[in-house]
Amino acid sequence: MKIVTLLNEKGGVGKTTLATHLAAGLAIRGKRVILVDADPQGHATIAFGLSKEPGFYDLIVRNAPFQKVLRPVAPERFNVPDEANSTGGQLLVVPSNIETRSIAGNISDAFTVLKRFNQLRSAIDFVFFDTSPTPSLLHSSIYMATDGIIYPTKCEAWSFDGLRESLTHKDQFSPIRQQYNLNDIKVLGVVPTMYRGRTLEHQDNLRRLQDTFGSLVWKPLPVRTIWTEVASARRTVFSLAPGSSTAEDAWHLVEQLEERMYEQS
Amino acid sequence: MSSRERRRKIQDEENLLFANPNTLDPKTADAIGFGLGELGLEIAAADNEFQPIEAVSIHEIHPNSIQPRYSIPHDLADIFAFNPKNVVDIFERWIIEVQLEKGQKDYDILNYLLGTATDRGERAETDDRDTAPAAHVASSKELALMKLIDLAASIRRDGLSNPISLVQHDSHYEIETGERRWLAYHILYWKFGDGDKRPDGSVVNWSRIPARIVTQVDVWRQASENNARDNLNAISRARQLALLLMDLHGWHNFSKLDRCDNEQAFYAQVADGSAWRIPRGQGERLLNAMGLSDAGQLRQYRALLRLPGELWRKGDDEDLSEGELRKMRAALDSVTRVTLPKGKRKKDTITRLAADATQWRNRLRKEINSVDVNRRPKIRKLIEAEIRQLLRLMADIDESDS
Ligand SMILES: Nc1ncnc2c1ncn2[C@@H]1O[C@H](COP(=O)(O)OP(=O)(O)O)[C@@H](O)[C@H]1O
Ligand SMILES: [Mg+2]
Repeated sequence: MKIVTLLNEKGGVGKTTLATHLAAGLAIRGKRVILVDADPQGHATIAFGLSKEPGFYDLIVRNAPFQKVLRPVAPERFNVPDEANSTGGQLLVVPSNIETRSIAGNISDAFTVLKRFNQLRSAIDFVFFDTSPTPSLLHSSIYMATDGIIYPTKCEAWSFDGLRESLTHKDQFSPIRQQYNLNDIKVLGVVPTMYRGRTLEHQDNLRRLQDTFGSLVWKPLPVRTIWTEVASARRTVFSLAPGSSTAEDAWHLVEQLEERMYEQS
Repeated sequence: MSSRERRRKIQDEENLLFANPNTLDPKTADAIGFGLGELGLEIAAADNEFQPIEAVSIHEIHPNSIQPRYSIPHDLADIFAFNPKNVVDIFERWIIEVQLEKGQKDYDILNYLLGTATDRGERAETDDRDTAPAAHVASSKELALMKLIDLAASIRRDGLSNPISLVQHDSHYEIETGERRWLAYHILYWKFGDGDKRPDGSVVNWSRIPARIVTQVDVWRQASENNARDNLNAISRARQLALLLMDLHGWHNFSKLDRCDNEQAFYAQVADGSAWRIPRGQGERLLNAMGLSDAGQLRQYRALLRLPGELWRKGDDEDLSEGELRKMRAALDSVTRVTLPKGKRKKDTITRLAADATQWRNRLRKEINSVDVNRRPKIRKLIEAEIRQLLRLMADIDESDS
């Protein structure tokens, strides 16, 4: 099992969009995937048209069994139409609701999330955490659990502040993780989202990003209205517009992740 | 997945549902309803394994009456009556009895708990009165108490590494595993109360013990826990075997403990190996759970269930091995085979018994000689006490006859 977290201490940068599509893409490719909605706003939950209760809080604080909390996403919502049900993959969501905000105040230690998901180590291939922008003890608990982090960011100057903040926070966890013999968290990528390649500002900022992070920067994801459309249709771009160039962009993201997940750092 | 595979998967799930409803726990059934096939079952298995740790009040915990191991000597356990309210009384009484035995009034367990005591009664481990007649030999009562106190001291020093497991009932919790750890917490609460500052500086409330809550007492889990810690004596293992056999044959076949004359009678319900055979295909599982290697050993432990009551209790209190108990039993068998002379005068009877006793003693000596040399004095003492008691008993019967 690999645990991947989408992080940026800024909202509206594409965390949820990436989380849902990376999770769906791997599930289409035959993986058993859990998407944990760790944002009280529950956008990832809504993105698949799922009910918000019981949710992440029930799992972590009330110790509800996974069976009660995990919600399978119907293949027609995420899978490519004619391939529906054709692979052994599965997509399950741990929903989120307003109670998620209270998890931080109710967990005993930073290992709570890790311990809980370790239970599924052999049953599940990938777990994605879609996080909220506001840091809390819940984030710490996710930092202790995660194997890798993906940072989506807009290509606007002020977007980089959130990115910097997030990276500092990650580094603060290195010594603690070492102390407990956990591998260092791998930065899987910095993903420029909502990229408008024709604007000078975006071009400039992308260059700045590449100067700072080098090969960690993924191919930018262009701004497309279809992203909001698929979200409001409670589907993925794979299922709603399988032949589109945006679906291709999304597949490219999945491939980037697979490559970097397994490459030796 | 091909349609054939899919059909087979559905078939498998249906088989699970209809083939053997008794073996299907509610969680598995849930998982099948969950509609994820194999993955659902794996998630259900993960859920089954997950037991959050809670801090439970030691006063709300009751021991499990069919727990195979007796942590408290039998005479005290009778007073204990499985009521947690009696725990401190039991310890006080236990300590007084040990003080009387040792003839030592300043025997203060606090020193042991704080790690400041020097005499640890360890010499008893190499108990051999022939070579060390002057040394103080710890009685089994003292040894058992010291073991609990040592456990309490180590928990205070290092913390509790393995939470106990409890079953939640309406008004209390029942111990599945961890009776000794729970008793150790009682000792610590009794002596240090809540807000105790431990040697490492941390503060603990001894009134609450870390526990996993399980849905029901699982005698197989109990057995594997006991084997992992390798801490059962022969009688406890016989009890454990009995519990596993009862579980295999179905609990409805047996009377509950409170319906039996005594605790041994409860376990002895499966003493008859031909009436309660090991079910086909379960031998391996049983051996594994018992940590034994062959069926002969199972038979020997099962035979312990029929020990004379006194020997059962003594064997438990004194931690006698299966082999020792078997030999003592053989010896006692020859004693009880002597029939009471009818209509004879008491004096004649006693003379006759005394003559027989010499004969028994010779026979016993032979038995004792086949026992491990380190244990001989102890065994001899026990058998002789046994014979004295029998003689007394016979004399009493004879007297009431005449
Ligand atoms: N590449 C993109 N082009 C256009 N809109 C996008 C793109 N990525 C995301 N969006 C939209 O932007 C909004 C915010 O994205 P979201 O993934 O919810 O961000 P976050 O989770 O970081 O708050 C959503 O309405 C989403 O549909
Ligand atoms: Mg979001």
